[in-house]
Amino acid sequence: MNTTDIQTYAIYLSFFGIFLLFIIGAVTAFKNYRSGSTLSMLIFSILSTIGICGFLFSVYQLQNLAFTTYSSSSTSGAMPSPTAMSEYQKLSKLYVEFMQYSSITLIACLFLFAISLAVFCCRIGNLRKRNQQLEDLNEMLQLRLTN
Amino acid sequence: MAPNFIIISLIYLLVPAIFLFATVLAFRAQRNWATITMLASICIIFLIIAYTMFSLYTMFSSRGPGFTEPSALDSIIETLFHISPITFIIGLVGFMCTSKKIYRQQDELGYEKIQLTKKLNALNQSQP
Repeated sequence: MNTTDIQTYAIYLSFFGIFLLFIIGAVTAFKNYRSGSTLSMLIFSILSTIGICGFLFSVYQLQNLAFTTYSSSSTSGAMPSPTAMSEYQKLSKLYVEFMQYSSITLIACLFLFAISLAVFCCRIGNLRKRNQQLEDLNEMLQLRLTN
Repeated sequence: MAPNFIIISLIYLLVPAIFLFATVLAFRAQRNWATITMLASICIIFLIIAYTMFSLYTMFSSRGPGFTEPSALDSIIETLFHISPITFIIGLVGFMCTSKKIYRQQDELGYEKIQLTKKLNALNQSQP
């Protein structure tokens, strides 16, 4: 594993860490306020983490496949055999497809998470307004009681 | 190639745009360190994605030299692109934690309202 590979994995792992923090945020919101928006935030954060895991897995498998295919032939100094090459192409196509599906899942889940977050923020804004109204109402009731 | 590229760019810009919208709503709901961090981070992410899409589009459409050496601006953008999601998520977790106060306040105010209403009703009934 060279420096470029380490840098690539570090970037993907940092994104994985970010998605874990997304889950922590969603769990905190869901524990405090159980509603549809917080539940969907939790579900989509978990699904997007699964998406990044799939993406990371396919990147790792592709690199590993290329390494094993070419390193086995490089010891003898020849190109890989046609059988090995066709196997490599078949598997790499499979992993590229898996990578595409993972990235689509990731983008879709992030999109839905963002919509859930917007709904949650709207609710928080409404709750704040309601709290102000309740404060005014309580002040009025207190005044009536004292009079 | 250009129309497809524009569609893909718009899809990639849609997600940060919705996050930006949600952050503006969060900022309107409560103005504290968490929402300010979220807003600043998502604005940076949005600008970086827009700049990257624009530079890629100009690179592909001009048919000039395919690859140029990364400039100082590119390295700054790359660093910011790695830092901004982390600061955004820190702000988001902070926002989730601080929003707890609003639910508690609502519960307390609701309870206070019920108590005051009961007292007022009792007072009204005791008076002839």
